[in-house]
Amino acid sequence: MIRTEGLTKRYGGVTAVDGLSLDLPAGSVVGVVGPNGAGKTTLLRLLLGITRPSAGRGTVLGHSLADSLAIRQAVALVPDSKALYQHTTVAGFLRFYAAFHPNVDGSAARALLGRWGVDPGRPVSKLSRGERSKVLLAAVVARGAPLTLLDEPSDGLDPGAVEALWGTLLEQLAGREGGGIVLSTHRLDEVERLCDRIVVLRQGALALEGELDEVRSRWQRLTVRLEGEPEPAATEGLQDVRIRNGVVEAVTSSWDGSLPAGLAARGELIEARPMGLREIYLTAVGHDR
Amino acid sequence: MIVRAMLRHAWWSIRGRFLIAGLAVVAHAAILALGFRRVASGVPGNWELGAADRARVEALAQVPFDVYLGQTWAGGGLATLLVVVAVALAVGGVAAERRQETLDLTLSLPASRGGWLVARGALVTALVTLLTLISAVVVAGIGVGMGHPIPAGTLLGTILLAGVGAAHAAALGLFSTTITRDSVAALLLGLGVLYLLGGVGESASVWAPGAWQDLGRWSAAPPWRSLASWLGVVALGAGGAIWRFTRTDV
Repeated sequence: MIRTEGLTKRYGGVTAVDGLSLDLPAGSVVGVVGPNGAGKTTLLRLLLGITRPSAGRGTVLGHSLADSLAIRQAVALVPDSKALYQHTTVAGFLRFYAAFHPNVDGSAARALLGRWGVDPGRPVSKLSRGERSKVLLAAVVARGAPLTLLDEPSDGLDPGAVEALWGTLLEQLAGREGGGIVLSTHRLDEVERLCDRIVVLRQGALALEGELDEVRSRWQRLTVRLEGEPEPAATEGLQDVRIRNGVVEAVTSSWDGSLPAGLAARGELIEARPMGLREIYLTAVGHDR
Repeated sequence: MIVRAMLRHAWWSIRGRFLIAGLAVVAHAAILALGFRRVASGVPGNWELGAADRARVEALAQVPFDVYLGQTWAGGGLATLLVVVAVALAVGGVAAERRQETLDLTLSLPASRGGWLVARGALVTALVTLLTLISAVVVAGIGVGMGHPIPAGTLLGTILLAGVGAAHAAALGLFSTTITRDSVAALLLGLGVLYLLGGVGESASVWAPGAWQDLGRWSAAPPWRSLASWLGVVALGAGGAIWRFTRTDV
């Protein structure tokens, strides 16, 4: 679905996306998370050809990033800004959008808007940010693109609307043959509910990527009793390492049921505890506990 | 379908400015046409005019209505007004959508960046031609009302040349809007370039947008020279705008 190699975007002296190599299989629902400024929105803009990479290459649905017109014909976007053209109505915007995407199902869009309480006759200028989100989502869902990029889709929505949105997305978008969703979000509950893969970005670089279930099983918090003083090499490759009274607490991102070699030689496993997604995320982005 | 949507998108951002321009053009045409009655009556005794101005007004008083309009309307203020209107309508658009935060939405649609600029340029050209048509209807209507019909050929020539000139000014307006995202700065830049080009055209005896109603200027030099200069400016302006917009990181 999406493949990138060393994808990099620099704005002057700032590196927004740093050597990103991804291979996201077809049909995935991918959650892209990371702190503010981690490069999530820039990544979506790169994938859609809105901005050009400074280095690296990639393909989206088999189209090279250089062929952005072909990508935009196949990929839908709900942008981060949620801005719509001010001088029209909701129905006018949907007609405009449908002119570029003949497969937009107008009745499906109106049905969704009806369910979400947005009147198609309302001027766009009178809509709240949350209502503009709903209009964009209705247009994108009604289009049924093979790949949909959603940038903070639930931003500005009330909890009830978020529930309705998730239900609709799960119902209508997930599990498409050959396509999928990339969802940039700050909400880990959204990732847990909707996604089957996760990409964590940290300062533009890849901090973590994988299937959600696999990530949960690989990332474990270990408690190990050591015999004697630990050698520095013993904790190599582990994160968030704490040593107290001969007991090592650390996080491994490659748990396969056995201790890493360095620890296995001199220690005894007390506990391997599965981590919640929030804990995994905070460790991956290097957030101090 | 897509072309119509792109034109509609351009129209959404232009229509407020177009309405103001329309009012200005109609007011300008009406004031000039209605002013003929006063001009034809000569210089009132209580006017204090220099000898040169008095001679000019007296000479104007002797000319028929269509010649008066040729000097004051078609070959006068209308040209300047339409140059300003064409550039003012051309600046902004997709290249300046970052301010409205709709840029990512627009650029996510399956249309080329060059296409967005060409649609706007074409719409501006058509709208300026329409404004000239409206202006021509106003002066012709007032002329008929005053018993001074104007030859249709004169009006048609003015409208056609306005369209040609609008393409010229719109191309430079589009180019200037890719240089600076600020619409006022882009307007001033576009007008400045047009002013310089007008001067160059004057000295090279070729038609330039500042003289787009001047049929005499168009035909005085070999027509291919004016045509070549027009094509050159349109191609450089529109081509430069597309080149810059497709390569600029937004």
